[in-house]
Amino acid sequence: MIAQMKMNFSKSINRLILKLIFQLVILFLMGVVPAFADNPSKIFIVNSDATVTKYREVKLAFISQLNKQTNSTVEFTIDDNHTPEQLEKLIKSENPDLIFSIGSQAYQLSSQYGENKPILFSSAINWQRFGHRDNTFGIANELSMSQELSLSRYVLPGLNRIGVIYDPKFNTERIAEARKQATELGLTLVELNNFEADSLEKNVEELLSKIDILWLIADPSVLSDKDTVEKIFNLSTEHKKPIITYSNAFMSYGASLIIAADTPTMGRQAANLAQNILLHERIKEVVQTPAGSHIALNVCQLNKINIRYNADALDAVNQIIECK
Amino acid sequence: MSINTFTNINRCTIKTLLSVFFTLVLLIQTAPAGTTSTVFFYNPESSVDNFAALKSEFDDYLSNLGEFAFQPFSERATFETALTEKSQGIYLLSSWHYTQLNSKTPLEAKLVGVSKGELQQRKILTAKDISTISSLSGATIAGAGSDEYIKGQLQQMLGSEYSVIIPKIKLLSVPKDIDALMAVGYGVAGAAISSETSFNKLAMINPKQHAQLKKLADGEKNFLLIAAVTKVQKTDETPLLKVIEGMQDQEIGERKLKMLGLDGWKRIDALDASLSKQLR
Repeated sequence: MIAQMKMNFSKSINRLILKLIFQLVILFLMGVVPAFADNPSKIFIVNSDATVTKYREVKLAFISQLNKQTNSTVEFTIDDNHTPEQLEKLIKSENPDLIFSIGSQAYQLSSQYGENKPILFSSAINWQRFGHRDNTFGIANELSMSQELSLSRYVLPGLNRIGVIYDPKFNTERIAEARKQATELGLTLVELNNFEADSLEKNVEELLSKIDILWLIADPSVLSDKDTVEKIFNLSTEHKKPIITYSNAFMSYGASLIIAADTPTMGRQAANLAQNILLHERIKEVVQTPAGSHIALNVCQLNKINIRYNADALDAVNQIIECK
Repeated sequence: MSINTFTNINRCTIKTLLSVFFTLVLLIQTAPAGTTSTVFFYNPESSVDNFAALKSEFDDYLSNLGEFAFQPFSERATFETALTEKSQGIYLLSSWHYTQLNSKTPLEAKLVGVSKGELQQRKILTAKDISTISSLSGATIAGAGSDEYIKGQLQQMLGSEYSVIIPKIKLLSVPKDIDALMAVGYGVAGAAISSETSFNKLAMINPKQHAQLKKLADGEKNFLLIAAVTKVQKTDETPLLKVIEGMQDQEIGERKLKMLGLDGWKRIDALDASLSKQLR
């Protein structure tokens, strides 16, 4: 009798548990029980300077690319009214799942106050100088050497001997990479790395006589002052050699071709990477090279020095400079 | 001066002003609706932010040949509003967009773009480390153009068999096809969607990266850029159409066309019937 009662009781309990599980499954399917995945991840965006257009473009593209159902954002811009101390407090109170920093200052401060939060950076010039934590990810600020050289060859074909001036103190690794990429692309890199300020003019003239195009890279020793920059550009025009470089700032000096990273693409890349980090997916490249390019072609300068460009590449050019 | 005289003067002034106003209104209404004919341009297949360059180069060219102007658009909705509200001028748009729009706002294709003798192009999906379509799940696919366009091309290429994969794919919109193809080479994307022509160009630009990419799928052939007018066109655009068609005959005009990725135009009425019926 007692055994029978125990069996019945056990059966009832089993039925009850089954019923409960069944109801929970139904409720879950109906969306009544909030799934844990519905709880959006919080991303804290730190912007170094709201007035910088490039930063603004990155931020807008990042927000627009994010999946709004699974992510929410909080923004903080460093300025006179928003101090690093406030940032520290806000990170603590908001307790975000990820910090996205735009610009070098934002990256430095996020690393300082971000505790153990994953940090994603973009638009940080020469990010390698800031050190690197385990859970730091980013989008580099410069295009890869291979992309720069490939696009240069596409727009200005037939200019196979590329001259480059650099200080080994700053650019040894970058040039080693460029040498490798140039060989793969069938280009020859002609290097000038041993020069004194007084003999720069003579050395540049010698270099220009051996090359088809001069590649001006970010090197603080070479681009030390306005006069030096002007001298290099003037000599280059005299020798009818085009200059390819990385920033629109050199357009007024007479750069023929500028190949830079496309900033909205950097924002979209960062958003995709942020989602990979938050979903704990395997990250193949911790710091990605920018995928999009922005090309400016100075047709006026090219006509002056009688250099032809590939007209079929014009649909890839963002900006065309004509003579006024 | 009495109050009455003052009131009479005021009445007189108001009358004069009103008659001037009505004359002006009448003049405006009887004048041709906009003396400048405009080319409106929007292309969802490219994200190259070159609108300022396009505007200045085309305006410069067209304005030398008559009362013509060029208006590029970065937003699809704004372009479509201009099309439905104005119903005048010439609309340059991708054939993908043309097909979609044609059902809402009837259009009449007048010219089709030509590049290297071809009127059509095919989109292809290429990858380096991904060898099957089912492995695309969770991968990032880079492509030029709007997300909507890239997704549409993917759906068409992969078909219903792989429709479950598409929501699991992350899209990365880049400015141009070459960027998308190179993004695979650098490990930023798992696969790229690009035109077959751009893939062949990569062989010249970066042979090593080209050799690493394998084709996973391809889509149907589509026309290049289309020049169209609306079927309820308010103005006669024959002079502007002639100018656009003639661009390929002048070196300077041909160079402007290159900015749109074209070498020239072909008239729709000169196409083979099997081709022209695709644009009806």
